[in-house]
Amino acid sequence: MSDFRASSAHPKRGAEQHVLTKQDQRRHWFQHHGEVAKDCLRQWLSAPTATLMTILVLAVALALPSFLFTSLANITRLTASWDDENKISLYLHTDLSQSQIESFSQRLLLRADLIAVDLVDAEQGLLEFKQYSGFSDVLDSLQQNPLPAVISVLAKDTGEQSLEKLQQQLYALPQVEQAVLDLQWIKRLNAMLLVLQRAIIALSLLLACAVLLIIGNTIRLNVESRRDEILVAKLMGATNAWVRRPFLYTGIFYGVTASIAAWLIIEMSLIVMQNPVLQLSLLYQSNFKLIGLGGIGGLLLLLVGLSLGLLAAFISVNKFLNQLEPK
Amino acid sequence: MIAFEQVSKEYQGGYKAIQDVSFSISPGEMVFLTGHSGAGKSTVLKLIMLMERASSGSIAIGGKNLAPMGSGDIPFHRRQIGVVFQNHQLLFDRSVFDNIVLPLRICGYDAVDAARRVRAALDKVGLLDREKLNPRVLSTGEQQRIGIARAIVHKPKILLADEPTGNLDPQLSAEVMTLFQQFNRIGTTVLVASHDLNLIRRMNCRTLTLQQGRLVDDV
Ligand SMILES: Nc1ncnc2c1ncn2[C@@H]1O[C@H](COP(=O)(O)OP(=O)(O)OP(=O)(O)O)[C@@H](O)[C@H]1O
Ligand SMILES: [Mg+2]
Repeated sequence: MSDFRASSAHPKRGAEQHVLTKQDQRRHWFQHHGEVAKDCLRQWLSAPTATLMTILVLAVALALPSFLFTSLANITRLTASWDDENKISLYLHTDLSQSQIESFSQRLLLRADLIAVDLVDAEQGLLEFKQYSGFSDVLDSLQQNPLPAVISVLAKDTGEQSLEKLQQQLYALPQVEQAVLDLQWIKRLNAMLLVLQRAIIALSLLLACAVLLIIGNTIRLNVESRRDEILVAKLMGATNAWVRRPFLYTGIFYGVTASIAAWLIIEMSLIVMQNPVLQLSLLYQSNFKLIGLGGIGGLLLLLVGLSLGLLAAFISVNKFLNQLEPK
Repeated sequence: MIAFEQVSKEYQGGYKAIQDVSFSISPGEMVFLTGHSGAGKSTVLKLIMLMERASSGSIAIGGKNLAPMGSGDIPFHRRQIGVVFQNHQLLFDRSVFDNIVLPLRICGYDAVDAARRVRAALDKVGLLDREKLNPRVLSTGEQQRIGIARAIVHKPKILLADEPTGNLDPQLSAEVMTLFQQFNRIGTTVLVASHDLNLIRRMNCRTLTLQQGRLVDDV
């Protein structure tokens, strides 16, 4: 107790009221961010398993929609190479002579409603067919080329009705045995892809809500466990921003690490799928390769994770802070 | 410095904790607030801290009316007030030093400066050698003094104390009061809620007496 009395001898020591300059405040702001970030890290390291589990759950929730979007992008890319929906194939009568075929194709070129005319004559067609079908022996044993000459035309007008009308017109020509608007099914596929895309978007929104809830709940527990500290700090004049800061860091941490984990999950599953897909596409004479999230996709995933974490933390802490407002 | 004008506070549920209370404390004054348990002493302090808002009447602290203060202003209002709580409110998850440095960290003091001020405050309450301990291991009286050190460490303009001597023996109580007097002498306005009438009489200060929420005496 002696020093207790002794101190009364110089009561003025350190008694000057401290006035903070703008510069002080800025430095303090950075200092506090640093402290808070370190504190955050210490907390996760103190409960590594629980933190890891939460991150994994979040990663799966983030990876699923990203994976579906990536797959969708790959499929769309595959079908994009067949984008000439206005193509009509004209199978010509086999009894036409080469010169008749050529002059017919010349005449087609003059039509205003066509933008391209591509003649694949019977010889050429046979060669291609032999090469790709593996039936070359069978075909060699045939006396005559069984294939007709084919003229592919691209219609100028891509409207469905005008395409059908054109197809009828061309079909009516005497040289034409059959006119096939062969890319109808691509339209159907594209329509289906659109539905699929919508479904994936809906699923993504649901999973984003799940991520919000998981992070929000984790932060809420965090806030509850530091309840006393917050109450005391608020009474000493802590701003809401000051109280919120560590929790925002926690939210961002969860969001970002989960995004990175999700990215790893996706890239790894794509690597696993790459070879089988390559073999499959080789069978179809294509050199189609799977493309991953890529830089922009990865960045987007990171941003989504970060904002979800931030938002969840913000909502959770604010709910608590609002209870502390005086009534 | 502290001005109450016909202030009433009705808690949720309709209980009127204080009614029509008016008083004024000038800067640099030291005043006691007394009354039976439940008379509304803590309520007065909570109103000053903006932990609660008045149901009617007006309160001005340092010339500023509290009613229009929003959540953005409250922190800065509270920073000019140091509080010693009835139930000390120390944090048991950190050392004595970290407890006391909290208000300084909140206000944004430089770490070195803050450490110096914490030691000065600890020195004042005579517990300089306990800085690294957890407050849990300290005696109730020591905890109370740590609470006081935390309330004064940032040199607030106003010092509020709610039963600061509740757990102290008469000698320690007297010492704590001397400490408050020292702060008062360097210009801090001090308001102490207490029902220790003997102590109050000995201090010979202005005393506000509450009875069932009404101010019945001001001497
Ligand atoms: N948050 C609250 N909600 C409802 N009633 C409350 C609340 N806080 C206090 N009260 C009531 O208001 C009255 C005054 O309370 P207050 O805490 O101001 O008394 P006090 O004079 O500090 O008493 P003590 O000496 O026991 O600390 C009490 O009857 C109490 O029950
Ligand atoms: Mg009380």
